[in-house]
Amino acid sequence: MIFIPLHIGALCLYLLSAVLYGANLSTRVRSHLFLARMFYSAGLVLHTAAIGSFCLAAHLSPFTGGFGSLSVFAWAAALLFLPIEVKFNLPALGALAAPAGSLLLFFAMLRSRVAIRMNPHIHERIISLHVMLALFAFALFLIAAVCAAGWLWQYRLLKHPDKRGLFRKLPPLETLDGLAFKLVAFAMPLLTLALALGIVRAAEGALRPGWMTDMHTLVSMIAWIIYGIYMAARRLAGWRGSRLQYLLITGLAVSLLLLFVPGVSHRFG
Amino acid sequence: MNHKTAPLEVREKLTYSDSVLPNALDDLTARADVAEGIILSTCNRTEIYAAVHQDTSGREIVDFLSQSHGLTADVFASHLYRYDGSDAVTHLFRVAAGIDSMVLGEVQILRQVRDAFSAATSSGSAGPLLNALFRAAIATGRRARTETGISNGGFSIGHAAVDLARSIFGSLEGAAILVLGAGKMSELTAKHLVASGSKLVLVANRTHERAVELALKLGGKAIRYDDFPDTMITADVIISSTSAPHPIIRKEILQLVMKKRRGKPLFLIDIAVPRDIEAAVRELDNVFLYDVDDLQEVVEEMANEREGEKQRVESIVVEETDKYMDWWRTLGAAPLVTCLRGKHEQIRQAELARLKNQLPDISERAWACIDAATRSMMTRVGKDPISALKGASLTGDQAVLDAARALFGLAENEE
Repeated sequence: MIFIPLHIGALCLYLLSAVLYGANLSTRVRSHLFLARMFYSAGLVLHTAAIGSFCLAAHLSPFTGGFGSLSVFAWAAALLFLPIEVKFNLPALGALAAPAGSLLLFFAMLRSRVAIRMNPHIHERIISLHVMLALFAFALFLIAAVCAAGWLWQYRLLKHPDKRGLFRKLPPLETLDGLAFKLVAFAMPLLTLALALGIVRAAEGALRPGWMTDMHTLVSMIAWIIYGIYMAARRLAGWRGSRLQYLLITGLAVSLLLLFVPGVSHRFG
Repeated sequence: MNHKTAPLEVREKLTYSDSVLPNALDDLTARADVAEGIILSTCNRTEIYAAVHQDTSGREIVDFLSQSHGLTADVFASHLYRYDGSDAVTHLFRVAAGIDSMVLGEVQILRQVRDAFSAATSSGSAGPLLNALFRAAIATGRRARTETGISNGGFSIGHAAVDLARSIFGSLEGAAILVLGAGKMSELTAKHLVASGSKLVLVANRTHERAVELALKLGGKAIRYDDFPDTMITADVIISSTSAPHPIIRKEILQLVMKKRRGKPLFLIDIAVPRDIEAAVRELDNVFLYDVDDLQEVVEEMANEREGEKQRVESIVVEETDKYMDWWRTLGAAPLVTCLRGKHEQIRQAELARLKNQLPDISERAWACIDAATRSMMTRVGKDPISALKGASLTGDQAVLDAARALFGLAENEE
């Protein structure tokens, strides 16, 4: 059961880095940023070890239960966020992304004691790939939503002259908007492929009849449509501004619903 | 002297232009008591940094200033200041960090310190002491600017406009600017934006000739005044400073414009009094309106922020001064260290020569290995005593230094 303390360790490190990212945002002390990135990286290493140890101890795929899937989701978001933050030099986003990742991991840990109900198809490669692709797509959507939240925060600061103290410390609106679009552009093919694989396997009989009207399937489809609208609005119609950001946040909210809606036939945990 | 101690009339008499600087540096270091010298001459300060053989209470420097400018000392002597030792180090570090400047945190001073250093290096007037001092000063200046917000923002409405535009658009490279009115204020603000990368500038004015004139100055294009509402659809920044008695950009017009822009952010800078842009446009999504008062507030806020950062820069200066002074104090052990290393090398060479006689057939490769091994051995043998000597020099522990002389037999050779 070493994976539980390892998860707790990772959560503590993520939280510590969230505090340091926040401190860097208000003080701009370089050592805060350095430490924030170090703790975040250390948390990521520990988190990787935690997921690995779970698989070794239980001889199960991490996607067998809600705990493992959520933990991999948080891990994928952390894994993708760090290089993005460093490459685009957006430490201010760390103050939003690190707490969001920590919250996900916390929710995962709340489910650590829930009994796993094995689905016979979970060890199939195609299903593993389906889940993995979907989780990475949602991790990218999470980071895109963090960008959108940062955009709305900066927008508010710039819009109301009496509250703009922080605006110089946050990334520019266009940078956040452009990055969010790129992230969704990367995530959409992943989600599309994940859904396609899921549909193919379900049609072959991996899921019980009625899978098409399963809440899980429906919510995934709605999320795909929302992000599809976002892509089309920005790319084809040339939309910009706050509407797009709200769309990204709505997309994430719908994606997160997947964690809570009961999947009757689509149950892997 | 600097802007705090001397008025401009005095400062301008004591400057050193780039053309006279090499000769001045030669004259400075040609003086009997001056071992090394660097001259920092800007519009706000003339400072001479010198490493001297003996304390002459600055007389040598005053004489040098006097002779190189053909002035009697009483013209400027009362405006001079003098720092010694760590105070001088702290002063230079504060200068490089921009906290001794007239405009707090200005960035040019760091380049000027770097230029003064490179002029002294070229003329050979900077020796090991000032070399290390100026390198540390430049590093301190860089640290202050990267680790604190001492150089953030600017002090004019133009700077504030650029700062805000960057917060909206990031880079201003592709940003299109529409200037309404060809007044001085709009020209200055537009110039700041152009200097920050904006390439597409359109100017509209009721008198078209003045628009053409300003467009030429900004490297942009003049458009007919009546065409400006259509141009707003493609512009990213609009600077308005007309003398119109009523708002020329109304909410209803902008509402239509924003519809056509599909939400693309629009930054409006209204520097006209009375205002050119209806305040109600603030209510529109993705429209950012800043009038003169708003911009002035941003300027004040930037100044306050810099003031708040000053304490953090002072801490960096103290830290870097301590570091430099520690290094400087270890220089006291330098002759002993050199002597000890020399003695070790002498022993090594003697032993190698003896070995070569005993083993005449040894291959080149094996000899290289022996040479490297003995060198490494002597370095290791010397490591702890040398570190102890430096430590003793740092703390001024004369007993340890004397003991080292006695133990290693260095007393006679030290010099």
